[in-house]
Amino acid sequence: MTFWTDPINWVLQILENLLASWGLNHVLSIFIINFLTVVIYCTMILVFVFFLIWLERKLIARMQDRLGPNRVGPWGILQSIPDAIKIFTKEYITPVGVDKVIYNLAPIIVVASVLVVWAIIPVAPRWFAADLNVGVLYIIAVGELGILMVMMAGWSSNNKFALLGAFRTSAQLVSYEIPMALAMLVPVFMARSMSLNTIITNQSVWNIVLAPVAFIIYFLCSLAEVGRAPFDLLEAESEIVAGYHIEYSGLKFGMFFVGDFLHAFTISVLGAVLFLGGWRGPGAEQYPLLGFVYMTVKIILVYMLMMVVRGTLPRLRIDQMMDFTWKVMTPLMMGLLVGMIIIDSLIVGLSPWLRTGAFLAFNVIGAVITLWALGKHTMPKPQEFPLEDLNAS
Amino acid sequence: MAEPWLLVAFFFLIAPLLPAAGIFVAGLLAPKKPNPIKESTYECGIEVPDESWVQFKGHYYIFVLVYLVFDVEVVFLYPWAVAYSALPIYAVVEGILFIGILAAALIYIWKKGALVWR
Amino acid sequence: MPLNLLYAVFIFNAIVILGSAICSVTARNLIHAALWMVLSFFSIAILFVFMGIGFFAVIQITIYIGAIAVLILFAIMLTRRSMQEQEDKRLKNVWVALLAVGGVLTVLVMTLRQIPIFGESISTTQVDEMVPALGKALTEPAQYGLLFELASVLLLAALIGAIYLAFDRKKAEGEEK
Repeated sequence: MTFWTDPINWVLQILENLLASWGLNHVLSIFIINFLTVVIYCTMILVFVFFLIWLERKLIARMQDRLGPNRVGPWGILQSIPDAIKIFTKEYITPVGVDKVIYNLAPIIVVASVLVVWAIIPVAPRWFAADLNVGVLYIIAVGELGILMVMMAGWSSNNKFALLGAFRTSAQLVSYEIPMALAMLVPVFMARSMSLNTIITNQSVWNIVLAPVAFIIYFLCSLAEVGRAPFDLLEAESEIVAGYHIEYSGLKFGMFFVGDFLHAFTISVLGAVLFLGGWRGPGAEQYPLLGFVYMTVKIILVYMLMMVVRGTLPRLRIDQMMDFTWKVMTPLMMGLLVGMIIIDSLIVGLSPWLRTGAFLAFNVIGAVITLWALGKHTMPKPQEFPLEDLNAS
Repeated sequence: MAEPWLLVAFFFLIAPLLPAAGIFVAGLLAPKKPNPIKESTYECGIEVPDESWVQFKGHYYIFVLVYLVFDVEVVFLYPWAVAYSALPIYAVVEGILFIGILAAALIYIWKKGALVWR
Repeated sequence: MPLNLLYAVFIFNAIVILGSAICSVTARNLIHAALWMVLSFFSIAILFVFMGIGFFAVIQITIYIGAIAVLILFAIMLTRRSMQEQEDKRLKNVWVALLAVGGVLTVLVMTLRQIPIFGESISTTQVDEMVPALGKALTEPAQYGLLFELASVLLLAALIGAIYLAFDRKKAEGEEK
């Protein structure tokens, strides 16, 4: 293997040879290499969040017709560094009566539960940390750990606003988990495997073409999972005064913030992996770095979509949000699954083009019917204004 | 690299350590001036009576309850979807029946009005 | 060498399971008890990984920690008014209870040691064909197909029962008016 065909294993081979030449035991050297790799990977991801925060601020600013950070460094790109220094040096104001262990543990585990997802993400053909055969369920499982810790953060703050915010947050996060899990079932169903690598290698036709409705539902549910607009009721200053992280200050609050951005980025990566074909593209099998480039482009596409949605849509109310998930997305997802199963069994032997066309047609028809049904249900009827009343007053 | 769960275990060990290290370092760098007024909890400046915040408390519980049932359903559906190729044709019917019964459950509680947020 | 390290991690995991279960039962604060239980569930998931069935590990975390523990915590938080409310859980005859439990444990361990499968060594390789085999077993009429459908009926019944118990229709109808 050369650097071009297999970069990660090439580097690891060199490290292994280096450590073996120092006379270390083979198992110990593998242990050290894995440990170092994981530490460097996690650190790089956390540092990358700074760039993401700058990107978000700049783009949202442009969408709102203002400049965004533009003083520190070219285009304000170094803005996150003074922000980080500021947050590092803020005082930790721990209110009285908090449960110290849980209060301090919550931000750590909220960030950890997002970092741990990066263990299974295949960034390029032979460039991934672990290839679990239960990849998709693993993602759902560690998401749940984060939800639990959000609730614990709210409870341990000894503050009724925080507790109420935590209840609402966990009710929202948990309600949007179901359509998301069902939407992630569609790529699993297409690839007949839960392993992310297999899902990518199976996407000769991207899953977004086969099931665009599933992608839309996954995208909306992941917006709600992260707590971004239009679902950011829980952090809105005017609503619940910052929700479950009211009583956190300094870097603990910064950790929630970092976890939020990292979660949004991870969800975009997963959207690219599950629905946009991951690193697939011409020449990616041969040269993994090319696959990395394709993957980056796709991730940026999904992330930009997230930011555009954030910058344009107003906030939903909590009852609208709950209605939306339980009465629109879950039945739609169930109907979609049933339909795709039926179509899949009907078109078993046909050519790939016909299969793609059948799935796509079913999705489009399903989307049109759903939008029509929603429109009939939610649009108010135009009221008839009697003209005489207008003239009289 | 051969054992995927081993690497996942490494991630689980190291992922909490990095934020913990950050928080610890920031704890060393930040000033510490505890002050009883600063440390009282945030209450919008007014004293609120104890009971009024957990009104309609049953409603949060119902959403998590419904979520529990549908989570178990989703967990049942995943191995069924993975094994789909190896299954004969009546597996389609079984899957549709499974989803259908749970869709009926959803419609039942929808009609009962349990899905309205209060 | 690797076998010994793995064995040591397994023993540590077993101690965490038992220890967190004991802490959960003897904790003074109910929320702490629930959180020790969460730790116990998590270490049971690690135990499933040691057995080579990673699927059940993720299911354990998803359902037990993600749904059941959250439900229990909601129930605790909604029915207890203050966080510091504690109960004294010291039993009066704790020694009698320990004796009874110790007796049952001894009988169980001595019986289980007869079964040969419990002597096998642990591994971290995943059983790749397990999930498709599980799916096949779940839908085969000869194996578990009927139970698969009955599970959905059970879930339906549970949901109906829970909504009947938890949902106050009079209050809801009172609000509509």
